[in-house]
Amino acid sequence: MRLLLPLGLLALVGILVLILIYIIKPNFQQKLISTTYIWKLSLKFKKRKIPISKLRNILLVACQVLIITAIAFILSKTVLVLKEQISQPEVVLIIDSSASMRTGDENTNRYARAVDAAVKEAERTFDRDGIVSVILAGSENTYLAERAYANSREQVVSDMTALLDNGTQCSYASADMNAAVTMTDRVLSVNPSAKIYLYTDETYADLSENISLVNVAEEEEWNAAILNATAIYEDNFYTFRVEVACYGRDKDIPVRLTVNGINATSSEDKSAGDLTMVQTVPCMNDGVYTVIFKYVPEEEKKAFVDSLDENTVFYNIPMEDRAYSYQSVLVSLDADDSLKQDNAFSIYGGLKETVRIQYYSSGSDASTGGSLGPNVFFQQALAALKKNYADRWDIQITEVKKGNPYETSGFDFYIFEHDMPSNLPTDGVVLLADPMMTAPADSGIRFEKIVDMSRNSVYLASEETHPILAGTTPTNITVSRYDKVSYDPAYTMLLSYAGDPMLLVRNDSVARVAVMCFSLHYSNLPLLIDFPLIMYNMFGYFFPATVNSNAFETDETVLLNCRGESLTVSDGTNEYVFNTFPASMQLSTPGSYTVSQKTFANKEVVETVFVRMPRAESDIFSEEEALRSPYYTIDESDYYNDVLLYIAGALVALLMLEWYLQHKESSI
Amino acid sequence: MKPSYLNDAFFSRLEALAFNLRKDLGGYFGGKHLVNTYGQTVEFADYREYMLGDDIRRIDWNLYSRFEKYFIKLFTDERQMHVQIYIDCSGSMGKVNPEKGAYAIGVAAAMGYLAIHNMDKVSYHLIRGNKAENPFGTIVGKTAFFRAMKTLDQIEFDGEAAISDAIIKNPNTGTGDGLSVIISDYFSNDDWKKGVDYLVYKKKQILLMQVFSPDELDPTYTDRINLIDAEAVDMADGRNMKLRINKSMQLAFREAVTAFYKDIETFAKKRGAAFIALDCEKPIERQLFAKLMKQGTVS
Repeated sequence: MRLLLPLGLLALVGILVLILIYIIKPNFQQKLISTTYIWKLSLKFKKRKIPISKLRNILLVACQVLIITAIAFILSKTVLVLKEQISQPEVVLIIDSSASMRTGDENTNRYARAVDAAVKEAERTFDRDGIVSVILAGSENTYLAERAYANSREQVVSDMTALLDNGTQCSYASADMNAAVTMTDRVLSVNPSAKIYLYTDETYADLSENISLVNVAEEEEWNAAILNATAIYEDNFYTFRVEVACYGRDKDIPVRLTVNGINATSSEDKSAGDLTMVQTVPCMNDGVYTVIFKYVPEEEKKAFVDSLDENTVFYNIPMEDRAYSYQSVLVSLDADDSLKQDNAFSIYGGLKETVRIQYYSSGSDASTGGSLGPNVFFQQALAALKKNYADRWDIQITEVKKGNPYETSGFDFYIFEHDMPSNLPTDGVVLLADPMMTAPADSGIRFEKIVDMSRNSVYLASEETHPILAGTTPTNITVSRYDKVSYDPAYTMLLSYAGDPMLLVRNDSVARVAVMCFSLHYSNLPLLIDFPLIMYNMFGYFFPATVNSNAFETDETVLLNCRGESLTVSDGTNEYVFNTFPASMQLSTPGSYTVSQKTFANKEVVETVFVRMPRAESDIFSEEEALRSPYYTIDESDYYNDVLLYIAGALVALLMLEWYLQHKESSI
Repeated sequence: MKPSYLNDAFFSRLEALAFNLRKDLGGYFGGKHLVNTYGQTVEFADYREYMLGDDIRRIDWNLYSRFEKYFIKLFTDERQMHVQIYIDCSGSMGKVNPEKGAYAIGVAAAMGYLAIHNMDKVSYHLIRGNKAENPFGTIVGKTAFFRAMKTLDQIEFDGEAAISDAIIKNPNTGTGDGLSVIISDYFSNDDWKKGVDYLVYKKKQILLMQVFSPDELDPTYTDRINLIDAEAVDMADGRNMKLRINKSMQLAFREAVTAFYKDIETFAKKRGAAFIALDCEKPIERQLFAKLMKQGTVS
């Protein structure tokens, strides 16, 4: 029980007044009458006073006292305490550990200043026997200390100081400050009066009154940054676009772009040279400038330059230095600014991996003895495949016609139609289309018979959801004749008819095989969009992109695929090995990462990706519109349960009882 | 101003009434009241045989001629009565409520006038303490009566009144010679009944007249009251009472009043006395005429 308005207890003075009334009340008012004779006589007729009468009097007085007490409690706003309000000073210290907090010189940076200031505030609070919570705000927000009391002072201060040990725990990513403020709800739900201190370098136009912002930025700091860099393949040559900005100072920034392994044929091509280009950019007013490194013929140069806006700077690559491939591109700024992490940028992906496809078709239908030649549907499907994967793969298609010897090694993808090899190639993916009469001995497929429906087409059924069938409608596919086969359990049946497999697939360390148990000549599949889709999906299934880009931001989750059993990611210092795919990885440090794998075909594949700082972090004097207001309420209903109703009920009951007793008292 | 009923208009309204006294009373002087004894009036009453010593002039010779026996004619007798009016002059009669005292004096005057008007003699006995003062002596005739009334109207009601002692100690009580009227409120611890018994013993016709104020029988005050008796000497007097008057007390009071009247009426009936209660707030003539005539005391 607690009184929200203790002054209401002054109403208890009413009890004293009541007592006073009882004391000074003229107990016996004097009345002069002719005679008391009849009154004396009436005493004989007076009913004997029963003891309950005295009890009634006591009850009456008690009732009146209780009524006054109840009124006093009502006036005092008596409540039941659900949870105690905290009178101790309490602070929540949010330390921004975003990448921009790394701004500073060798001695100290914003992050160190923020931690120092937070430690001092924590110690001040502990000195006042207060409660301290510390939230480290990064891409993931964590409580370093949650509602720590003074007895945990050493531990909290030690943990906070440790934020500066071992280099720094400041992240390279953006900090979700709104999420950090949201985390304070836990503290505020316990103590709404807790004060929030935000140690950051950002400013907010609209900030809740409950948050005190401690800006650790310094005016002399500035930052020249590469915000983005891309290589665009156009007109058979690469154009490089670099976005730069200079925050906090107007300065001419030299942008250096070095193309390593220009026009190399492979990543191992050591004969390719390097090309370095430097373009100075006059950065002003924190604006974002684009530098375009491109070859433009002399006669088109003026028109091209005129078409550029004022924030775009053009560097004309000499014709002889044009790049149609490259091993890597390094973009860097020659600037001694306060934040170094965004002064370099690498572009990868200048060399596409070659995939060799052999398509062999017997070109005849053995059952009829006719000669149909290469299947034009396969030809068209492979052409579409090459076109659609052109940005990633250099697909080379070799078509082997009947009578010519086909290869069982040296290719990445083998397609055999009608005639099957005696043994499966081991260095690539194999598609067996219509394994008529026979199948490779080591394929795990055994031909049984040809099932001919006498040109009565039957619809196929889908057995399971599989990436190869993505976007297709298997139930639209019909066949009128197929090869009934038995298959190794390692195969997965994707399409079937009456329990007989129509499309089988296997992808493991032993074999990567797809088996199409019918001839395209006896199916409507080539007439449907599903066929090139199945071919496209099949290629993507067996040749997945290791990563879906060559550039990522820090803390971005990267999806990793592998064509072998394991994949290794290295940042030059540490190596991370993955065996289950698709795998995901968060790259928290900016820089280049090497992703290497050995495919099932024993082919070493090495790719490089670049992880950069979020571009927003380069703006070291950014101002946000608003920060989420912390949820806090001093709604008393959270703390107290109002008992007014109960007291009022008791008051009414007491009043009725008092009235009843008065009535009885006067009637007896 | 002290109220007074004693004026000509008041007395003139009493002239049509007369006391109707018992016939077994006797007196020494002739008057207007017919008595059971035989006297010298002209109204024939009875015959009886002649006895030695009788006046032979009263022998009825006509009867002698018929019966050859001597019979004497007897005539009725009329006597003068003595109306003794005892007035309770205690504080309870007028100290608190002068109206009540004036009413009592008015009643006493009315009773006296009825007697005087019918050739009776009247004496007023003012009971104070245990004595009955007789300041006017025996009043005969209207002149003496009205002279007495002037003084009677001035009497004060104060102190106590021991009715029984006053009556018993009264040397001029007389025996069987008339009517004794006791005017009081009878709200007294004094055993006035002894006085009445004494008067019965003295063969007096007794009329008990109670004068009361309505608030004495139906008090309007309630709650905690320190009742100060008008006759109390001081605050510590035993007659004073501290009462918490609630409904039950009021009920008991009403029962007490009923019992009080029942007792007094029973007592009066047993003693052959008449009892009337007079509300001092009601017109005195109406109550007197109605209640005395109903009792048969006046006609």
